[in-house]
Amino acid sequence: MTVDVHRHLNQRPPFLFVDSATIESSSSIVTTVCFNSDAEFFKGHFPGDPVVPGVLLIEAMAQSARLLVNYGHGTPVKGYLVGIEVAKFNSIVRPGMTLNVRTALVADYSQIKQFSSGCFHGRTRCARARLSLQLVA
Amino acid sequence: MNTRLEELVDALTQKPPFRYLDRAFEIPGSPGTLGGIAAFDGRADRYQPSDGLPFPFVVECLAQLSSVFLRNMNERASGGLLVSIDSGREYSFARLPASICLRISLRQMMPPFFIFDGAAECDGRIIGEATITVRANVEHES
Repeated sequence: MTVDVHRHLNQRPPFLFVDSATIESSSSIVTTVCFNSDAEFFKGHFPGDPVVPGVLLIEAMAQSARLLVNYGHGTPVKGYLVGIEVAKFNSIVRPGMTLNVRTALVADYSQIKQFSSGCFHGRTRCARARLSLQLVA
Repeated sequence: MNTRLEELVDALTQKPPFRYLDRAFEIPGSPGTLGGIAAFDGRADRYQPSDGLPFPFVVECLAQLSSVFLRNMNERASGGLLVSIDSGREYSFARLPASICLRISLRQMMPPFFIFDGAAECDGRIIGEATITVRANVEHES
């Protein structure tokens, strides 16, 4: 099922990195992410040789996880990225590359939810991480 | 003020608006440790919708400080590439604009890989910690 990203995420451009999303089940989501070449951060990372910062791939994965949570609640829920585990950056991501971000809920402790997420360009995995979100009641 | 460290901060491959590290300094009595200061202006067009600092930026600051550490340790080093975040924890939210105090310690060397423990403070409280692995002597830093 396709999801209205703007309805279920509070982030807005230029800090909204999820372009579209498909809910696969109550515990998994696939999003598409593409960092446009005119993004401001490319001016500094790196001048004349733009590369998507790894930490922004983490943020894109966190937004995907939050989108899955918010979709389940029906509206955006206040919450924070509180944990990152075994995040690996496997290959360079350039501006304009469309990534598929596959994210699955792997543990649910009510207010703390853990996700496994990976960014793929075609069949190449560019990054992966295990993330924890804390929801605020 | 350590002029060499100032020069190494200026020489970071990351440039504004994606260079957040403003200063680096040695911590007396703590070999293998480096301190730093990062400033975030809180521009709404960069951090919407919250006025809080997203945790990945704290990790980026620690990675930039680790690049300065590697260059300071080895003049031939061209910095470091962030290859993994082994663990990261956010304890509280830094409200923007914010000045972040950073500290990294070299935990382990397995050249070309270097593992650092890092912590970030804001307004006297620790806002987050991370253990990161950086690969030295590569084309880019992250």
